[in-house]
Amino acid sequence: MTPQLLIFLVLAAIAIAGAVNVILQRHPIHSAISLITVMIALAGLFLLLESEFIAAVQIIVYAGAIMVLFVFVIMLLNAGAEERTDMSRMACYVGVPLAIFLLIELAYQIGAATLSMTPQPPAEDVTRGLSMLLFQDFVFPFELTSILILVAILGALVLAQRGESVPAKSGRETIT
Amino acid sequence: MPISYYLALSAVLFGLGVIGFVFKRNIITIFMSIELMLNAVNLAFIAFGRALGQLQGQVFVFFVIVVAAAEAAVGLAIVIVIARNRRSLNVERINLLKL
Amino acid sequence: MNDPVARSILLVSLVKVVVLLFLVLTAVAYLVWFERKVAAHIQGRWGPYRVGPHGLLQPLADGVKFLLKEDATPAGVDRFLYFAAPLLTMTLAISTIAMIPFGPASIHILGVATPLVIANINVGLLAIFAITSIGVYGVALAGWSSNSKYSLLGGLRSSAQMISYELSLTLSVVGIYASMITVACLASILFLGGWLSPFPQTPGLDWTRYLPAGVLAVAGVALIINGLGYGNFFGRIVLPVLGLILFALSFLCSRPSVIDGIQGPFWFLAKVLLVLFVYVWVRWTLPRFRYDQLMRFGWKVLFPVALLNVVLTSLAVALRK
Repeated sequence: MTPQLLIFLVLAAIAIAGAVNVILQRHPIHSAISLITVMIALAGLFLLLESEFIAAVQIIVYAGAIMVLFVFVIMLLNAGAEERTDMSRMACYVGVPLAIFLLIELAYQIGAATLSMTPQPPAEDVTRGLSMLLFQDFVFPFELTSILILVAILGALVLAQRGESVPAKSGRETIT
Repeated sequence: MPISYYLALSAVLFGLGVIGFVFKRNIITIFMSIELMLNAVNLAFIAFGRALGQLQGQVFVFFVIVVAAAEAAVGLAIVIVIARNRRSLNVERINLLKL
Repeated sequence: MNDPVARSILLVSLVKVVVLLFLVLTAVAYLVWFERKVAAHIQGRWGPYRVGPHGLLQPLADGVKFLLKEDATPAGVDRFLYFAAPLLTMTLAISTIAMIPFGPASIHILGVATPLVIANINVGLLAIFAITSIGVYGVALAGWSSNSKYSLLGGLRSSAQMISYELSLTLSVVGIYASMITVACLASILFLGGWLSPFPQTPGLDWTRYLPAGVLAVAGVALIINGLGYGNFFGRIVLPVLGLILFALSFLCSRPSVIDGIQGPFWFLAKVLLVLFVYVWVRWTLPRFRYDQLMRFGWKVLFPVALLNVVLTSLAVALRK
């Protein structure tokens, strides 16, 4: 067993355990933390795949910014543990079989595939090449994303702004 | 080490995301399941890019992350509005449009 | 692993980790002593004086006190997170030290040339920012898990503040790494962005006021977490120091090429101490920002200035070509 394989197996186990925990935990905060664990494990896998820059971005943006937003919203809404309800008919008869089918199908197709790694240029060239791609070939989409983010900020502001008509919540209630 | 290991992991994570999306009742957790799926796809992108020795896969992941950030901002704003108006985060109770 | 060279590289790395960990933990304890001393002298007091000569053993006494303190767990806390949050902060803070280079050259130990840094990775600075961005959870979760609304508010406030300052801090470093030349006219802007941001953000070295606006009592992650947990919040001291180290490395022109080898760490230490002294000096001389002033300053002054700095620096680099 090569060291790479060992690291992969450990990180994959962490990622899968975290993902399962996202589903099993009933309190959204615990789900969020499990998801952060998954993201960090994935960043480790990105490092293993020699994409250091994306690994750093994954942690800074995904784990460090997006999930912080989730955690903040959960805390501010004082969201409580999930209510247990009966599974809807839709989920029972369509969702579960479809999800299981998807898993089996994907695993089967991928097991059949044989792709091996091709050698990559040294790490410094990867980051350099990435910046070249981003700012030359993909410069138009790159600029578009900045507009997208601006629109998203404005949209979030408009949506979440408390209107005059809506009375402020009194007291600290737990929302489920 | 074959790249298909990464792809299999990506598939499993994506499947778990789908399961979470279908099973969970809390709207925030459902949203998190979507993020899980996006992460799984990112892993597949990077793995393919590595297999082909190209950097475009990483560029795509970069864009996916940026879009996910925008999506999270708007989505969570919607969650806040829902929680404020319906006093609930349970998707079962958000059923005004249901027949 | 049977290869003798690989084994000695592993051994040297291990030695480096242990030595550095010991040095950093001791140094942090003495930085607290340093700030208390400087602060006391600024205010015309003596500061710690009783334990050991000039209070030099005070950090030891403090450490023993924090370890032996009764660790009361309030009712209704989220047990796992309550204990995990301080540990998380601590671990993350310390692990960032691994990426800091302590000198320009490599030294020879056991016949192996080893650089004066534990993890010499390609995107070291980005990695440091990545790890510190995770640190936000330590504060936010500690506040939430304590099951007290004041702790929650305090945790949310200080983590919100950390995020808003992280932004301009990161941006301010972009400028200098984009150019690698210190353009004279930009130096002042760089300083404003990179130098001022750690100020209000950092809780300071003295743990009695280690959170922003700690005196306002509402900022109370510290309200509930105490004892060993509080001691673990040591991590919150390492982080600001880390910011200062980064500042010293990025902004005070590094690499005195004449002096090399083992003297590298000396200059490193000298720079860090200098920055630290100025930091403590300013902190204890100027009045503290109120929370709302601080947020406004972060978003409406520092952030635009940092952006402007990035634009101007890239312009300068482009024109130079």
